[in-house]
Amino acid sequence: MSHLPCGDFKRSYSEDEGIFPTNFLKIVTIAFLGLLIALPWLLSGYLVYLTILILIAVVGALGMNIITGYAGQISLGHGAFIGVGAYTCGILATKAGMPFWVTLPASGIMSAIAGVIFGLPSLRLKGLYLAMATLAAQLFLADYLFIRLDWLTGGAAAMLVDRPGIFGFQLKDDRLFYYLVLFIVVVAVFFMINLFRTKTGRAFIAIRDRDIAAELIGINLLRYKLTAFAISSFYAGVAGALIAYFWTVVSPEAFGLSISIQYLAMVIVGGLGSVRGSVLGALFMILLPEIAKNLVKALASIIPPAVPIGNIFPALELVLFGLVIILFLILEPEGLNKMWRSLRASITLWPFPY
Amino acid sequence: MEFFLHLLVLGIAVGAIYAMIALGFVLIYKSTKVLNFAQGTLVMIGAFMVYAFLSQFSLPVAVALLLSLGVAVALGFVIERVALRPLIGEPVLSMIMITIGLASLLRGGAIVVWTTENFSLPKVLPEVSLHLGPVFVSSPYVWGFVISVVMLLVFGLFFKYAKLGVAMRAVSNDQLAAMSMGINVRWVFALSWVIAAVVATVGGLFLGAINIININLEFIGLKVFPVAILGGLDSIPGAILGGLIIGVLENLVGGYLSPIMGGGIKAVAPFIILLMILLVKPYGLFGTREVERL
Repeated sequence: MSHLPCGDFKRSYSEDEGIFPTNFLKIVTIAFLGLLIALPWLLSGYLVYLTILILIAVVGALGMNIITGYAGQISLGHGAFIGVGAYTCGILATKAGMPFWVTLPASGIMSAIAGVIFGLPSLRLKGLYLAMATLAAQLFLADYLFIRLDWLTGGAAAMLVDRPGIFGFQLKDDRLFYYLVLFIVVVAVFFMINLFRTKTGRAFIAIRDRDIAAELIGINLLRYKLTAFAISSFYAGVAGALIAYFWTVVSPEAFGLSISIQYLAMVIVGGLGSVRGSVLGALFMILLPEIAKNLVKALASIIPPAVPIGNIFPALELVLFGLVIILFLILEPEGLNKMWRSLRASITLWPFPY
Repeated sequence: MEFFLHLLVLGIAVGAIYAMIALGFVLIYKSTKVLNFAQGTLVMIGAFMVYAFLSQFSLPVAVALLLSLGVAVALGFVIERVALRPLIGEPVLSMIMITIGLASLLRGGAIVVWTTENFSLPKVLPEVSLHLGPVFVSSPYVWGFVISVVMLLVFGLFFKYAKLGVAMRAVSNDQLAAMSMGINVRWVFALSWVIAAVVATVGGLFLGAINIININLEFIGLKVFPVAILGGLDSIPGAILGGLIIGVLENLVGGYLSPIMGGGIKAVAPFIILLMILLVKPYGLFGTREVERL
């Protein structure tokens, strides 16, 4: 529930349908954008690196939320679709020397095509059976195709990509690359918020809630399910292209099943079917391993060096990941988005309980 | 021809083990409608348990096996009680995700205790190698096949005749009706997880004896998916047939196609087969077709 201030009422439909219900919210959003623009100059290099990772993950998580959170089709193939985008970007940039404003949309489109092909089974398969079909897509693409098409992708060895250039000026510095990523994230968020105000977006939600009922009221299931797969994979492909540019290395193991699971975790921890949830989920799931890493460092300084700490770090990361997911599902199944809303509600209503 | 027979026989032996592990998976799905992503992790933990009791604590064989099974029972019980029960009635995705979380937690725990090294099980079972015509079958395969078939038979009889087995079938058929007939549904849920953990441990024992034991034994769990889905998620005969089909096909693909199409094809083949079968039969070979009402 959002609580509007007393006396704030709508005079027309267009006001009622506006993205920002209050002027205050508009100001907050603009201020937040300003903060994001200033951010790289306020943070250290490592934190800028992390912020870029988070922003890229936001793009991927938004895509994941479209297919799983809004359209209700469980996908375990998101990592592979990100991989398709990364490889498309890498191939176009290195072999054809295309600039980023060509490779980014091209990666998205290539990924969307892959998404539609592997989304075709969704016409007949539901729920868990579909999850398995997308798992098959994930393993086929990431564990087989990316490695075996070695004349194109460089195989198991990595493929090197240069940072993109703009007006003949290469974005070598993370701080400058940040603005490219930020621009794409803003466009992605804006598109997504608006998507669910259109017929297409509403159709996705109808399919999620009750697909048979949706079909009966005239929603073409095949068309909208495939559209959902296409848009979701487009986001994944763009995220993949950004990853390729950011790391400047594309290798198959960066797009394995664990990545798909990580994105699934992002949207579940963040909140299914919400844009804010995707953003919060991406933030949380990228920061979690970093926090784990620092925790291990802190622990290492306390316990004597005789204790072998080498393999505890990857293990601790896994344990934390598992624990967080289990605790979230048991304690707050609606995710960070719900926590954010209750927090905001309790602040606006303070000192009253409701 | 000899090569073909060799692949076929080994495929059947491995397939029987897959079928047994998939049995636990199908059982959980049938009674609780949870897709258990932690089944492979349970296999891995089971293999490590056997290894720990046999080699690290050097206990006698019988004691070590019994203890491992005991741990499996406890683990299955605890998982159901702590993680799964609070989620009863939640959407499918939450159920999947919590088993993924469990898998991650258990894997992390296993790395802390056993690191990522390779271990091999000491030879404990008596050596029985078979010569089936031109085909030589080594001891772990024979044992794995025999024990898996015995386990499958025992569970088959259990579900057909034992009171508890019938109760489990009743719950998978209709939870509400079963509850109103006085069946303790919670016990049935717990029992399915216990059985799943036990078959995973036995499967882990043999897969560990055939290959080596390390943390990646977990990925065997990924093979259980095509096995279970191929036969239909909620069909036990389907799981057995699926296990044999996947075991044999995987070996044949590994033997004939790997030289042409590269090594990765063996691991991916079950999923490609799965995808093709799902396109023709969306609920697997024997899965129950869901009737939906508005």
